[in-house]
Amino acid sequence: MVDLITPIVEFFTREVSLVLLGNRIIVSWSKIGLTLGLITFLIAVVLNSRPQPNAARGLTFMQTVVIAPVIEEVIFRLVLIPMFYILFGNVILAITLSAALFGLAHVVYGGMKFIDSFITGLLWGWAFLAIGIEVTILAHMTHNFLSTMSGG
Amino acid sequence: MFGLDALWAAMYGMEWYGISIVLALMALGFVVPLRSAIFTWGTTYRQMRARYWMLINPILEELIFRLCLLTILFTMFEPLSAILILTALYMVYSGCVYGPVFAADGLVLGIFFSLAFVEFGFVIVLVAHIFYKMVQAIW
Repeated sequence: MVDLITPIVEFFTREVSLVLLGNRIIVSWSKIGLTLGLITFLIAVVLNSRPQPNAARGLTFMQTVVIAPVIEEVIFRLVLIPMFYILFGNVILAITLSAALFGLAHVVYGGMKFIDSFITGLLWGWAFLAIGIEVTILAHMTHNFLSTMSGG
Repeated sequence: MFGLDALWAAMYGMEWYGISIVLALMALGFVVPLRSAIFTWGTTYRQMRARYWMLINPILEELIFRLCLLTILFTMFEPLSAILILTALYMVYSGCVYGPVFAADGLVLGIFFSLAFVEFGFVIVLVAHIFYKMVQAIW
């Protein structure tokens, strides 16, 4: 019988090495993804006084938690950050512009959403460059899952 | 090397369908924030899921706007002026046919896909346009 569990577990527990505030840490990328999702969710709650109202747009759970995170991360991180880097030759500017567009894309939920989505975009932009697209997809899924579960 | 030429050069390393997919995703990265922030978010493609919008419309639009109209405009004006004229027309068309919010699509597709059309040709832009609408139908 083909063992499907082991490769999945190995995938999610793959450790990455990061320098964070001057300290080198070695941790699995999935923990970073879950943590980033939680942190950005809390930022959104604090800034907006309530979670992102995905339900208001009539999105299903599947669209909110799976489809939208994958498509948005592919567009705003995987495509736009390299594109802006190739256009302007500056990593910081590339992350900032990508985060700004990510923020603007969420203005539909209210003006304050720009600020927390912009901060979220900066954090996930850094995570994308430091680790990879998988960590930002997981963070985005976690963020949207928490929003949905908390009545968003 | 940086700039638009570098961007096209980087894309020449891809398969032709890869170029189409990346072009579509880049366009979406600008259209969605534009619709959300500047234009009032209204109908989305998901709400008009019909195959017609995803397949027939891109083919007709690309044939009429890019292959015919833009080619004619190139013979009459400077390339940049031709693209801007086409973009203005495309914005009016998108706003009238799909709804005012889709003028954002006209703006981005008018400029970005026209530049890509000049660089990569008709087929790649056509496939990019179909993929662009398909992604929105499931988003």
